[in-house]
Amino acid sequence: MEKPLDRHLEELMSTPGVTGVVCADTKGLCLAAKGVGERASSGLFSSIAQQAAQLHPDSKTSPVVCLETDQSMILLKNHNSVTTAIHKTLS
Amino acid sequence: MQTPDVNDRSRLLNNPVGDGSATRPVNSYGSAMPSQQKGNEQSALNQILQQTASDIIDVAALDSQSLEHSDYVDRARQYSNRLTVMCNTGRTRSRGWMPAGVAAPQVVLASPPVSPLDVQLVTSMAEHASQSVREMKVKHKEDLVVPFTVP
Repeated sequence: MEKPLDRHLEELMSTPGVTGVVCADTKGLCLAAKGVGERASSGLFSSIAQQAAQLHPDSKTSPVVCLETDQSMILLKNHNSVTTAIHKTLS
Repeated sequence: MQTPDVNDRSRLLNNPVGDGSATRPVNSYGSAMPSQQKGNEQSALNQILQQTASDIIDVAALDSQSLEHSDYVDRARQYSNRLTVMCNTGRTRSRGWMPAGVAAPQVVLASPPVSPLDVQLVTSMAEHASQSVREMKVKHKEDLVVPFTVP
């Protein structure tokens, strides 16, 4: 059932620098989480991605949000009601 | 005005296919049936009714069960306490959900913008994830409705 999604996430986790990933739906329900990605943060990620999309309501594509910290960053992107958050170390 | 006789001998199902005008039980098998057989029929019918009544779970009636006021107050207090405990523990745990803040904002702000490769990475992953979720289907493996063990 969720094998294709798991396969994509495993491929992503093998990318250099990627330490974790979280997938959530529009309600913030966690669909998948790997690595340092916390299931509990799925609601926050989903909410941030949706709020960011409201900055440009006329845009056809949703924006990529990057939360930067000293050591790592979180890349957020909403696509067709699924929010993906990728934890990545700073290169 | 006198009401029709209702006693332990009167039928529970009174002429179910009739027009409702009959006040007396109507023997659909005719009057030639022996009285003992009628008794057996009556007891069998009662047995079926009792059996059916005991087997049925009336879902609609579950909501209408009245709750004692003291129980209501007790439960309200209990749920309220649990909610408070959950909120307090959640607040302390929530620090771990997101990374710690930035010590020197100027360093992060002065750093080069997000690389196109990273944008491409998250964009392609978001598309793959969305596609995978859309294709997700529930596989039927076992029965959702489990029959009760009725003897």
